[in-house]
Amino acid sequence: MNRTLSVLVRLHAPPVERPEGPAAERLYALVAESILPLVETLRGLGGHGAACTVVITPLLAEAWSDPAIQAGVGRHLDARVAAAKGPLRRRAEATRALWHLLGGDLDRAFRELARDGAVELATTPATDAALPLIGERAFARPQIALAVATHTRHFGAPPAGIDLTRGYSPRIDLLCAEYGLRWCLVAPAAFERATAKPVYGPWAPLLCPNSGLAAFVAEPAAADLPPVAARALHGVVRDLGLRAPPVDWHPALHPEALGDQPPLDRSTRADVFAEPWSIEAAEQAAAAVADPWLDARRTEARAAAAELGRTPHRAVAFDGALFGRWWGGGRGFLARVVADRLMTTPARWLEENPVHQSAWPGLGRSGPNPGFAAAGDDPDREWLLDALPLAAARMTRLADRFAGMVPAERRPAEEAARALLLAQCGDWPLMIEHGAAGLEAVDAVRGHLARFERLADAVDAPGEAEAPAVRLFEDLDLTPFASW
Amino acid sequence: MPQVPPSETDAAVEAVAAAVEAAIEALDDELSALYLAAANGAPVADDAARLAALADRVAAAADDWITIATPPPAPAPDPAALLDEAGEALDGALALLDGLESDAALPPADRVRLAERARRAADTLRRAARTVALFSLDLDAHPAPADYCTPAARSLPPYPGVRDRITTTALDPDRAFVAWAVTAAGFARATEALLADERPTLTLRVYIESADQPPSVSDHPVDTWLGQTTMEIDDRPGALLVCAIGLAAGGTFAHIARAVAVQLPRATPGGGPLRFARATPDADGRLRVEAAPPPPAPRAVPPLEPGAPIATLLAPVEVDR
Repeated sequence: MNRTLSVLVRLHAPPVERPEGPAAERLYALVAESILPLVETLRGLGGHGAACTVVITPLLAEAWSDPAIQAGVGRHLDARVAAAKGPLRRRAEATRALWHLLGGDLDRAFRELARDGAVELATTPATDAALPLIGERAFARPQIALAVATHTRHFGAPPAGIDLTRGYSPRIDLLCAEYGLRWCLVAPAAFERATAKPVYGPWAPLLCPNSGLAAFVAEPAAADLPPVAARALHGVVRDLGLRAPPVDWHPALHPEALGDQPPLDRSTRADVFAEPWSIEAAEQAAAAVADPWLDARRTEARAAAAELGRTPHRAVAFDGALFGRWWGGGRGFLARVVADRLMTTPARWLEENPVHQSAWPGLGRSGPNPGFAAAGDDPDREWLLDALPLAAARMTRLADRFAGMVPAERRPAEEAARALLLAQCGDWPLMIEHGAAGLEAVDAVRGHLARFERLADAVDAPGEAEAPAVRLFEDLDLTPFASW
Repeated sequence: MPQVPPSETDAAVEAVAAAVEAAIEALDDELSALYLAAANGAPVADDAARLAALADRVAAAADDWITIATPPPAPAPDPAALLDEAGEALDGALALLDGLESDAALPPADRVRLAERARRAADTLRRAARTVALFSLDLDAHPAPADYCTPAARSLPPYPGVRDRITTTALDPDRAFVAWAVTAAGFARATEALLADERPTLTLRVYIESADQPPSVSDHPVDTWLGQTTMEIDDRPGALLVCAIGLAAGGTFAHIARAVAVQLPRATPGGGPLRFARATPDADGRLRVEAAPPPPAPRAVPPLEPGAPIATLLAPVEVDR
């Protein structure tokens, strides 16, 4: 059986501008509960035929490399060890030991995993922006250019691909190929709106004419996951301010998944966790569901290969927070799956299968609503659709003036560009659209845009430009922002 | 033509030119402020009165220097009329400055420069007068709705240097978001470009082009200078959409700003030809795309499990090879 399945684990956190506060705490929890366990799992596989694609947003890589954030993660891990008891304490100690072993350097961890062939690393737009929402196609250039540059700086090699499931629009492929990307991940809606009917359906990528970028469909992972994981994935995007998962799903649900939910009534909690929760039991249960999941995939791929007359491929995308943070046994599932002989990565599969149907995917994004129109009147979202292109156009004029200047002169414009990138972060429109935490998102965008305006107004004034405590995109180049 | 001693010419010309330019600059600022205030639903009468006073000062500045024996303009209640009179006064100044072009006492370069500056000032003032007239016609009759802009947008600091602009974002096969802003200068420019005498209407014009249907143009009157809307576009998935904001009158349309073309997404896959290609990186790491022979034809795409996301694509396909 050929290798036909790519599992993509997506690691992302909303912007963190200071090492304290709710956003920073959520990031610390993500590192402790999901990212370090993921690293531990992948290292444990030792690269023995394992194949996994890890999508890391540049925003997250920038955050976890900041010394203040690293110190905060260390404190968070210490606090977890102090608070945990029994098996949870042993797990917390192991996680902390891995952190110290890595010297707090997650870049190095993923660099080594990539070097050993255990993972293929991919990126997203710089602030994981939904590119169709930020204005003209030219405004997407800085997001792509900066993503590739930042990824290369952190991981020592350019990314093979880019995740555009938050929003793909036609001709973005030209920009991606210009910056050396080989493949992109798009939502099913982008295939449903392609310029020609994809004759292999989701079983093969479309090769964009002219650019040569291969567009793979990202199948939502929840389609056939075990119920507990599927519910966790569907039900929560806690980082985006949505409700934490209901507690009555499954005993294997990690108690910490309750997170910062309001304290539950004692009797309810007792009902939910009637049986003592056990890490080992949860991981065994997860591993037990991995085999049927893989069998179903294998059967499906065999049928597809017979019908298509070629090696099929499917890409399944998971949210990294699923493994550990929301689903205690998730990493047992992952360890079993990525070590299977069915697994490959998009770049590896493309090397073995170079000929593809040539067509452009269409505009689309993942989620229940494939388009970008709000369900009803949403003045906040409409305001966003107006304000972002307007600010990007102003940034273009600033870059036209300052891109060729010496560093001291262009620094205020660079700081304005960082503020704009944060305003373009793809989390905000999602939060606004989902309703929960929408006001928080509006405030965040408003704050970033107001800061952008202040900085843009003061580009000619001497003095040090205001900057957030956590530094982002230090190697930012104004040239991709310019119109020339 | 008044006779001005050559020795006094330089200082006098410079003085009036400086006064007129300062006044024009202040007038432009006031117009921008008035535009923003009116767009936010504020009453414009007080602002118009301030403009009128300003126009009066412009006219007075010109009159001080133009010593022709005409009576000073009578005070008029209408700010547009005042500005028109100011424009006429400047026309007089312009004529005088034109006369200076032939005055041998002035260096030729100065004569040309001064005449050009005065001409520009007079043009700007005339445009401003027409804009104010339109303000009093349009905005008082059709005040901007109070809810046209979100609280979030209101609390943002105003964008400096507001420009004429329109942006279009494709959202769905049948929907696109359009946002526009029109400045006083843009309005005035479009008004001048219109040949019709009837009152112009601020209009959103939508051009739609697609391969399978004839191109279409539709006009949608709008009543706000700063606005946004989600447009519904029936039955044109995959079409190219170009939106423009401008003034329409008497069957003619004067553009103020035009948006970049966007493509509406298709509702279903397009009917493009079935082609195959291979992409290989060259020495620079860039992908080189070349046509490739098709792999074996698929008999059919196997059905997926229920609920799979792209099941709609997966009916058996007829491959034209």
